[in-house]
Amino acid sequence: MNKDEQLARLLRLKRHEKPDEAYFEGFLGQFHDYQRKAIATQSAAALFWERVCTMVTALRRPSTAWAAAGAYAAIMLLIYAWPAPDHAVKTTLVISNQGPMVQPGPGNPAPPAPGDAPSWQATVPAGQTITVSDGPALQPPASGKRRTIDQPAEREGPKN
Amino acid sequence: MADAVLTDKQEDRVLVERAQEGDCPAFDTLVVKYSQRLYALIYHMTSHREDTNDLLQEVFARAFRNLKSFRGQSGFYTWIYTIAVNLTLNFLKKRNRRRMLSLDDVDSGVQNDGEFLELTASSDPVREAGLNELQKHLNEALQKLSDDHRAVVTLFDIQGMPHAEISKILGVSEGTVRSRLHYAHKQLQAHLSNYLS
Repeated sequence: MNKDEQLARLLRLKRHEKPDEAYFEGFLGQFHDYQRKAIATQSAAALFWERVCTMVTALRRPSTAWAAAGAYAAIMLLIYAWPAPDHAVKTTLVISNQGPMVQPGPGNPAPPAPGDAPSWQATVPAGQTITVSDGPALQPPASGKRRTIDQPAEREGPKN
Repeated sequence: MADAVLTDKQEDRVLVERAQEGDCPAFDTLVVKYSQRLYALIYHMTSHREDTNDLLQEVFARAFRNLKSFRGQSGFYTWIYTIAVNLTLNFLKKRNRRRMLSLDDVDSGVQNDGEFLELTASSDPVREAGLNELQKHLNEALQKLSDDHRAVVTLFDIQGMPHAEISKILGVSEGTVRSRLHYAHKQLQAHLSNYLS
């Protein structure tokens, strides 16, 4: 008899460890008492959670676990492999030649009076197209000085 | 044997259907039928009779409360065993590992057990140890195993369940069951080397 067989025989001896018959005869009554107490004390939330756990346990099979893992991997792959949309919104403003137009004097830009058209209308020539992006170019400069539309217009405008 | 198993399953199905319709005595019949086997399963996993008693009542209470969700895809036997194993494993995770053993008596039938007689005849340490000491050493060796390993040893070696059934109950593959058994046997052989020649 090898060690495996000897071990198997030793373990089988444990079958003889059991309570006497009276325990099992009285068990049903004991169980009924236990159920009555449990019904009186258990909350609805605990009962609901227990049902969910039991259902999940019943579904737990190796094949189900592999299928769930495969589905999860496929979803994650789709999420990460999908091309990210370009969030930079570009807006094209076309300056119309209709409406008020204030011509500043040479080297003497007139400050806009209340009620006047905004300065960008005054400094951007009609018909010119400028592109406004929500990217970092429109952020205020680090100096804290507010950037206005006439600054890029002077830079990008026609040189005389 | 196969016919007997089939009849057993059919009988369970009828009892479960009646219990699902609110027939409490039908569920009581299932309790009486399975209490001994489930007691043995929990007891050999915990080596503690008071804990076993509490857990066994909770197993049947849980089965009763969830009976409506039992669809009969597996046998009632497998379903209630799964509840018992999971409940016991959860309990063991929370229980203090150093807890003392609280063992049931070994029934007098062991004195007439052919395997026991053969063991005592062939092994001096078994004969010299005496039944109570052997029982204590066996339980101590089992408690040194991890909870998962003890579960497969209990189901396979003590309860005599086939690998396929154990894999369904534990929700692992048959290969995992075999591997756990192999590892657990090696550990038990090391712990019980005095009794193995």
